[in-house]
Amino acid sequence: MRSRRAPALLVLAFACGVAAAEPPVWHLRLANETAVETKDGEVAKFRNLIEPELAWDLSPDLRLAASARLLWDPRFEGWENEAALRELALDWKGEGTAIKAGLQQVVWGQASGFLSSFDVFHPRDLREFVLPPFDFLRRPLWLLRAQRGFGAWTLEALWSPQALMDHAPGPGEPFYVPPPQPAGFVLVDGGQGVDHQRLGLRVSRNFAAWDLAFIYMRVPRNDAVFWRESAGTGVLRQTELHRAFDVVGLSFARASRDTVWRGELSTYRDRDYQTRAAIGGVQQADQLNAVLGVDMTFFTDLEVSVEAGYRRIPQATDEFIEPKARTTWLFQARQPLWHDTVKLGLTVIMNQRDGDSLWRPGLEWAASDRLTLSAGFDLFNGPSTSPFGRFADRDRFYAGAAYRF
Amino acid sequence: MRLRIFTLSILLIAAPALHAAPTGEEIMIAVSNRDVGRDERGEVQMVLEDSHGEVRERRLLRLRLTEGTEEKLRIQFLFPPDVRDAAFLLYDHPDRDDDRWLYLPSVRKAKRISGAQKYRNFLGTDFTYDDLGGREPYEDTHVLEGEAVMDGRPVYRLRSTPKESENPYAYRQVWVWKEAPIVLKEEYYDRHDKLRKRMRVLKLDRVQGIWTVRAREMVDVQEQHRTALTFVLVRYNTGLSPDLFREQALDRPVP
Repeated sequence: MRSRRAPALLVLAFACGVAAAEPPVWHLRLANETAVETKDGEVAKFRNLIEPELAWDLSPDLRLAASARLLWDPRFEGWENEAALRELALDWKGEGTAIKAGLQQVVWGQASGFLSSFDVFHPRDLREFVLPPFDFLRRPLWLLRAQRGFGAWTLEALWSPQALMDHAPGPGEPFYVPPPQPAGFVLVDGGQGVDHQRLGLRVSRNFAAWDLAFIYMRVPRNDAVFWRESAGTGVLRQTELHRAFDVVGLSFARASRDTVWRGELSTYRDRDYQTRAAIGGVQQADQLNAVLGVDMTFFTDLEVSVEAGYRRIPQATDEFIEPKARTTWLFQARQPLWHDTVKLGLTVIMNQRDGDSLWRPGLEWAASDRLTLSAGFDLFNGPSTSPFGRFADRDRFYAGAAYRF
Repeated sequence: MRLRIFTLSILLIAAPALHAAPTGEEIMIAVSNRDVGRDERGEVQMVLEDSHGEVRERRLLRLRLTEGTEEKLRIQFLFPPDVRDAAFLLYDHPDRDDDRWLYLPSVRKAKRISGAQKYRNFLGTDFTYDDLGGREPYEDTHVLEGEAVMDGRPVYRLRSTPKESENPYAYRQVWVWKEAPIVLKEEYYDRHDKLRKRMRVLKLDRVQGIWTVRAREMVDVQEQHRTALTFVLVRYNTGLSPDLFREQALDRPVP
């Protein structure tokens, strides 16, 4: 109900500003993305997109930003059609203060990782879940975002009343992963337990060659864990939980001549974890997270990034579904050619514990100022039970075209 | 600082009369310290032309703010559409390495970028990030090689040799206008002593009493590639807010 009031308030504020408005500026992006599995030539994706965007300066200090996405993909079971609003927000800027209210996306942190707890995903296609840009899979939230400068410091606050969680694939869909179920029991649906509110605070400043940010968030777990209680002999009532936990962390970036070091340190407090226990099945624990990355430039414009992400759940036991510790490596290289009209890229993501990996070589060609063509491969390796290894027989070639008006 | 600029300007103007030419370093310090107001706002239109005659366009909004000895530059990309609303922020420090950030709408956050990026082409043009601002006089050794007249304007001719070894250019020939310390022409020589690029100012104008470059070009002689820049809607001292020059504000496009 609360989330329905937000658009109404936006419309009211919008109506007040229209009188003094500049003409709105429209943009449109048309795109097709096609993927073919290399094993058997089956078309895995034939995604067609129409993405209109609007920016309307209602006054020098007030802007209305809106964007939408129309999607049609006859090949993707479970995600054939979509008509979604991606942004609808009023952005006001005063002396030292800025406020943005409405449907929007916010990204904090120096990596797409542990400090991105406002990221709610739509991971229908798990092969693309790990790939930048996350923009496509991120579900925007109705948010109030405020920013104020205090000298060299900047304070930002986020608040969202919306109950929006990851939209995971359902039974029968290509990337459905069934939740762990105790053997020998019948499960009955116990509904959901969801904490609605999301709150975030960030204090940041640039200090000499350093960027520093201190972050606090209280957010619900976006993916589900399942609480089970007895409902009779051999019957368990299962409740889907998205309960709130605290995130405290800091992020930094430091330039040092030809390299930029960046990192995050954070802790999750009292987060829910799934266990193998038939009764209960959810246990709270803390989690420690660290990311360290380095961005380097070679031969003038060859950009190379290496990033290591480590997370540890000190209280985890063998009962926990999630491993006690996990290290992930990310390698990215990008080489622009011919005055940036062609870009060669390679992304590699590896899980150290499972020994699995994703390799993504790709090429992008700006055929004109408005038309971009792209092509590449998604190559998966590793044991069949690992995050990437389970797609090892579904390597694919992809190609895309995007035209912008 | 103002006293220093005044002294150097007097030095530049008076030098010919006194038959005591300023040193190369003094000339380049005067170029760097030229009074161009507290702030500046303008649009830049770029036309890129390759050796086959294929033409591409770029448009951007350029905002500059001077705070004491520090200069801040914000560039917001307007065209082509795939980089629209991307933004580049530079803090040009006179006494240490500059700070640089790049905001990309696709990742929705500003990212600090290293100083090594200053040698790469800016948006595929023939200008590097370094060419567009941020190079301090002390980063090169400047030697005055003579005087000349160029397009009817008296100029000093200098040779500027970068002190850092990783700079892709061995040296630059620089022509500085005597009347107002503005670089009118520059030639960039590579490590094999071959001419690589040539920059020329095509149009100069006074805007609010300040000499302003309205058009210039950079030609990559070796790659047969040319970039022409036109500066439009240039205004000085418009009262730009320092808030626009915060890294955290890059995700808000300037109207």
